[in-house]
Amino acid sequence: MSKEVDQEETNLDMTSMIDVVFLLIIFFILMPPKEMEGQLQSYLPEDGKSDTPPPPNEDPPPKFHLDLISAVQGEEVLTEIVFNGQKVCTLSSLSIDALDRIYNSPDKAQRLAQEADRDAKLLDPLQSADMKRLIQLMTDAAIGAPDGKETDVIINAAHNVPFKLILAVLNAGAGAEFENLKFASPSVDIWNE
Amino acid sequence: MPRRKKKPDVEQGEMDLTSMIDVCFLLIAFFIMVTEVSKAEIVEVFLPHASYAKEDVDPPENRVIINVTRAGDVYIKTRNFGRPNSQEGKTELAQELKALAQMAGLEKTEKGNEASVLTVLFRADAHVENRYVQCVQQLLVEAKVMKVHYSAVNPTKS
Repeated sequence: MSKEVDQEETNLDMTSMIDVVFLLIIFFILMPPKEMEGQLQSYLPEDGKSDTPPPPNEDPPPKFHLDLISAVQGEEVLTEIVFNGQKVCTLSSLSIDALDRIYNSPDKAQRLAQEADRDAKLLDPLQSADMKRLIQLMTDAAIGAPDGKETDVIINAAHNVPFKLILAVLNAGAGAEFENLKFASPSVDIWNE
Repeated sequence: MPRRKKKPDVEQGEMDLTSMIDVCFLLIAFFIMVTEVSKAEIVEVFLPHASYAKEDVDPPENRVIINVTRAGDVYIKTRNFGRPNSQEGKTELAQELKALAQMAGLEKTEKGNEASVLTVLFRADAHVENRYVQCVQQLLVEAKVMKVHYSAVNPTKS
């Protein structure tokens, strides 16, 4: 009889611990799902030269050129996208000063979400006619090229272009299924503080 | 005299919760560790969106993540190198990238040049000026790194 009592006294009440454990599990399961971070691939120029001369007595391999030329106009940065010398479109984005004001405003999250929506309409090929056109131009150019979609595409972007536009043209290149998207050597201006 | 109620047989109805608790703790440990490990090299940036971005299913062994914030500050792991076009930032970043590229090893390219096997994953803020990314790219070229990937949120798969 006294032995039984002793055993009961040594029993631990696990109820609260199990409660806590289940709460933790529910917390982790219900955490908001993370946005899927994907990747776009590209290459940097070998030895800093995107236009390495071909070996003697050999024709240079054809290359496509994708240029992004920017100009700041007041609150806006206007970026012209040019593919093989043909203007595709001009995209507008907020200047650094205008963005600073958004980041310092009390409704930052809401205004950034609005900006992201605007970007999606301008830069996402699934929504933007300009980006669809760029993909079409790249696809058409590949048909006539000896290397097809393995032809090098040299991206030459001005230093004041917002990075999202660089990603937009890389995205269009991936949409057109080009494999060799390469960056041209930047101008020396980038080192100016 | 009322009949005494029979004491329920507690021992027969008892559940052994030991293994369940073990499993629960393993799950918690797993979630905590996954969260910590995945955040170790990541700095909070506003990533651009790209609908053709491929899922990062099998990251290369020799890969380094370079974060570039909206202000142009460069982070590798948790180390802040500052702006890459500042004298101090440039020197330190160049040294770090060269060391990482050398540690990863070299391979021959199709053109016969030597290039590092290191792959760089850029996590650059959507609103950062291209010049800061270009500065890092230039230092990578000097370190003989050619393969660069860019992180983006894929809205079609979120």
